[in-house]
Amino acid sequence: MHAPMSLLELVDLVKEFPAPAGLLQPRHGVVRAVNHVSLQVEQRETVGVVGESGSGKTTLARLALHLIDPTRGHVRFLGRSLENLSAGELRALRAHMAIIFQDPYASLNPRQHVDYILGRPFDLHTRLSRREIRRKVLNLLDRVGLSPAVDFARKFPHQLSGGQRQRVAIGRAVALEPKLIVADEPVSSLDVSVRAQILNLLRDLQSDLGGSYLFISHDLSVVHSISDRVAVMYEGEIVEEGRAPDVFLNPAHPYTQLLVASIPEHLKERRVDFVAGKGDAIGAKDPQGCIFRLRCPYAMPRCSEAEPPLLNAGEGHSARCFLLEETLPPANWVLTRAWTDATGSGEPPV
Amino acid sequence: MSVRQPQRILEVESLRVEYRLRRSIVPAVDGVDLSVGGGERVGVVGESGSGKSTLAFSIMRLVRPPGVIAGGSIRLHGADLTTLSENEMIGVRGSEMAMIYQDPLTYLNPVLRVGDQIAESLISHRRLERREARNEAIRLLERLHLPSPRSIAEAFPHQLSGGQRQRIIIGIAIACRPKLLIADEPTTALDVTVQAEILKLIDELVVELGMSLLLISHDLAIVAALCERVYVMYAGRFVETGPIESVYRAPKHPYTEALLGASVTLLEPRSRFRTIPGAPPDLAHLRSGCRFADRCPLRMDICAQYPPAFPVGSNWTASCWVHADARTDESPRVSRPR
Repeated sequence: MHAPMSLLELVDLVKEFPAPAGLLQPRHGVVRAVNHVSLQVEQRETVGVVGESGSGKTTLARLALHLIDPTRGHVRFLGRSLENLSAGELRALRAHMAIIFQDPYASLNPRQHVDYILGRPFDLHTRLSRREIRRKVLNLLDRVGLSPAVDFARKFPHQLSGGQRQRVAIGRAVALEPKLIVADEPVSSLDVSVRAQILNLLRDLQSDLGGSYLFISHDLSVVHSISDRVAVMYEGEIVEEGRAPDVFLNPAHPYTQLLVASIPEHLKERRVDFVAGKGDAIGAKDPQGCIFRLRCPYAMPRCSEAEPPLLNAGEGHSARCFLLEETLPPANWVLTRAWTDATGSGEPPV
Repeated sequence: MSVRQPQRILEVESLRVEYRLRRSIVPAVDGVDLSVGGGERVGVVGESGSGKSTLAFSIMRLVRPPGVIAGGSIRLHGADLTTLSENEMIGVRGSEMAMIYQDPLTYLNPVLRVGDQIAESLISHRRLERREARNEAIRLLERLHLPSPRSIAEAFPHQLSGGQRQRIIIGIAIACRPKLLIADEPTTALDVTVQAEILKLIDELVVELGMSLLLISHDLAIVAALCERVYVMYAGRFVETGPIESVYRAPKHPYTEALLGASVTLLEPRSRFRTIPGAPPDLAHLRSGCRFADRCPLRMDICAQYPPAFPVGSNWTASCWVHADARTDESPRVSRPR
């Protein structure tokens, strides 16, 4: 195998779920939650995945850790395809991966003490003695900022605040100093001030332990701050990918532009310059063509004929949009705020 | 926006709301003064547990036991709502002021068609005939930018998306053209693009119907997007209030400063987030004095007494002893805690 190997490689992943049958329309078929997604995470890198609800980002997180089987495609961790491993091999590899969930209320067993929760990874993956595990657990508590550690060790999750619980969940995730941590909306349920503490903690742990994060969130601002690279998901596909500042400050895909323009900033010249997409895109889906075209202000005839591939939008920056192939993109196409600033009405300039 | 009417629509004075639990009394709102002028848009920001939602529900007189309005007054057009009977309040809610809630599904009746739910408020407040009310409801749905309003009117809440449900809640709220719209975290459960659409809709309606807006949110940016003045709430009290521009650019209360410092914005990513040490006080066991003192980088001895609201600019006050001696225009910006 050639030189530097990616830590995690998602190769053309597809995940289908059986379609839920409606009350009156018993339907057959499948919902494709993740649709031909390829993504790499390098060592010591943080890759952010942003998208709205239903975009498939949580399914992608579960696929990345092989918690569910892909319908098609491969997950490679340190060059090894996870689907070919035996249960024992997979378990051994799992020591190098961990996950942090959104809801620290649901992800910690309410009947277990904090020290038990934090001791489990050592029980399962190491041959340390009780005493050594105890020492490790107290260390972990200090490391995630829960001190005095001895006091926190004997608490139940319900005796902790949301932020403290998330610290326990993070402690459990970093216990074995994994190479990869998948964090699925880790700060979404937290208040602003607590969120800042947790993000700093994740940062510090990364610089101390040298792991990589696959950081899944709907919050663009948080993802921008914490990620090296970013993938934007829409309807199960990655529509744009690149370095965080390129994607957020110079978005190439109209959907990313819509997302970015939808975020209110603290202080802005104009009070409300929110962009209206073309309605709630309910059922606005077509088997052919670009998945975003029904909401897209720049849709062209060719957008309904074939699906655009990921096209080059700059160094290490790509987007699934035919506009990148047009010789003359609309004048202010790349300017995110153009949709509203140009007209003041929320109508895109055509 | 039309010319600002000088009179105040809503005036809250020394409001105290307590949750009377078996073992303790929790003053969730503790001596709060707030006013909203005609056509004015006012925001209240605070973190969870600060009392901001209790404040909103109290103004609607919708706090339920063990919550009790324990003191102070809430005047709407001069009439003190705290003295009205429940029957009189029913006449006020919906017609003079109305509220949009955080979780639309909880506040919609799951077994009634949404068109009927909007019509209901028109029938009871504006005494319209059923047929008239239904037509009016459909016109309203159109106004809310809902596609094919006739079929939406026939839908049940569970058949709609989160954004559509929130539009229905907004429709019910504005059906009788209230003078004051209270919005409690109206977009918290929604995706960002839907959030943007809902905020835009609220913005349009406030202008179009000449309503005043009281927006409650944990999100500083959302308040900035819709409001012109802000109250910053911490542990049951307002610590700072003033024009958004002034407060956000040069916060005068250490808590406001810390809150702004801890939040991230898209265009200004941070490699390091500023945090607020410690946690908010337990409201059931409050000590006297400034409630932020334990977490404050500027704490002084005098903070053992609760500071009054000192003027720090035009229409701008901060409850912090740092500003006790400062003259109005040139009071110092609170220094950035390290």
